[in-house]
Amino acid sequence: MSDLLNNPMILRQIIMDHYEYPHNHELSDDPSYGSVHMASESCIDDITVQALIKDGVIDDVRFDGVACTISTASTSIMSELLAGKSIAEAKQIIAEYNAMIELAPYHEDVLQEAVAFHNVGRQANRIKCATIGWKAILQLIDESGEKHD
Amino acid sequence: MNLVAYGYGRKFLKKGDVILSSEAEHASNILPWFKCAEETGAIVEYVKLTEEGELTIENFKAAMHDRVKVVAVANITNVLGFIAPIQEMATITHAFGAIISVDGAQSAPHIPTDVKAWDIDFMSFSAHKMCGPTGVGILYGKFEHLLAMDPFMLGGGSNARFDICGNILLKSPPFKFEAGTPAIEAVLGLKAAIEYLESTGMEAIEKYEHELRVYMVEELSKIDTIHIYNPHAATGIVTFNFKDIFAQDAAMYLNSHGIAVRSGNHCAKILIDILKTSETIRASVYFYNTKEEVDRFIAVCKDTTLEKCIDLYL
Repeated sequence: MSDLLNNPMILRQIIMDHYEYPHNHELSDDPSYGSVHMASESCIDDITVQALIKDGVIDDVRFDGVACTISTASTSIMSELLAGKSIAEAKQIIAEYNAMIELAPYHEDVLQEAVAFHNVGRQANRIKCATIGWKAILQLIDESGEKHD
Repeated sequence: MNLVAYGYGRKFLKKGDVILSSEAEHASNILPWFKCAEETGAIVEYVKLTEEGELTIENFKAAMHDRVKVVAVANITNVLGFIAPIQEMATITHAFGAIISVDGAQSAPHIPTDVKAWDIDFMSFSAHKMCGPTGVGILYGKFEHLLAMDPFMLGGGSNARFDICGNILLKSPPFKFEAGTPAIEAVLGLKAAIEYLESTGMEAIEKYEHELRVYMVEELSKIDTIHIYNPHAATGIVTFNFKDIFAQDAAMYLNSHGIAVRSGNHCAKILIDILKTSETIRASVYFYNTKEEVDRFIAVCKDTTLEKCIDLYL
């Protein structure tokens, strides 16, 4: 386990920063963005995630809506992490993130700040919060693929 | 409430009739009426609430008119805990020739209930809110209404006889509403719960709960990171938020200290305009809670910070 994972103060600061000042927290009017609305059936989380995907690359990710700390921060971190990545790279990162949430072995280095959620999987009722934005981007990737195929 | 909306509303409401409700209603007392309105062409209207979300008799009078045929309101609302002036409302409702159906889910367990003195047409409540089992509840209705309305399920036990031509003779109320084998053990559990509450005394429960609530609000108001939405309600429900902490996150922190609160929109999804927020925390006291428990709750609230809420997941 890396130093980062052993330092809860830093992990807490990462989550707080992304909750209080979420990145890419504004939707775009540009119609070339794909958009997906994620509304949890069991809690209040209700967010919209947008992605601009061109030529197999995720150029930009944005989101907005009402959501708890874990949802907001995890989606904000995702939006930073996946912007500029190819679809193949993004899918790899998403797979690593999901493995971490499922408490399975994963590669820390590709997840960067997202490792702040490495223990969320121990509390089953917050898994949905930590994955809502990540499910949205996966759906956007799938939909963009359908359009190009 | 479904039985009233489907069995009475669907049968007697016509296009243009009005169902009068409030924006503080629980889903269970408004969705059946939405459906009834959709099927009959009736319209759902709302009594204007005060800034704190209370239903006053003045606002109720202002909202009543000749096309109102059904008034569907909670005796005590589940988010804000205000007691509606049901008896006066019933008198006004009847003067307009309408009926009043009261959701008693939050009131029957907490304050004395007298459907006859209040002269209301229907009242329903659930066993699980009154120390009883889940999946069972009571619908009270005036006998004339029960005779006139339809059951919304048919089956064995509810009919006296039927023939090959499709003629059905239903049993008298309440049996005509009891299609199939009922949840007998749950009904007996509810009976035990009612006897238990009555032996404790509903007046005593109301008084004790009110005292505990007043104390809790008094103490909670001293914490400057907390905003209380219903400081003046009489019953055990206190709805609040921590400034700058999302309701669910704070609720999980309280939970980690053994304090069970509810967070979210509490099934009253159209109340947002009054509260100006989509999610709140609801702490409620009942007769089994103690002043010491309130003190512990207050101590944890004082200690709640966004950092500590996040630390639960690190």
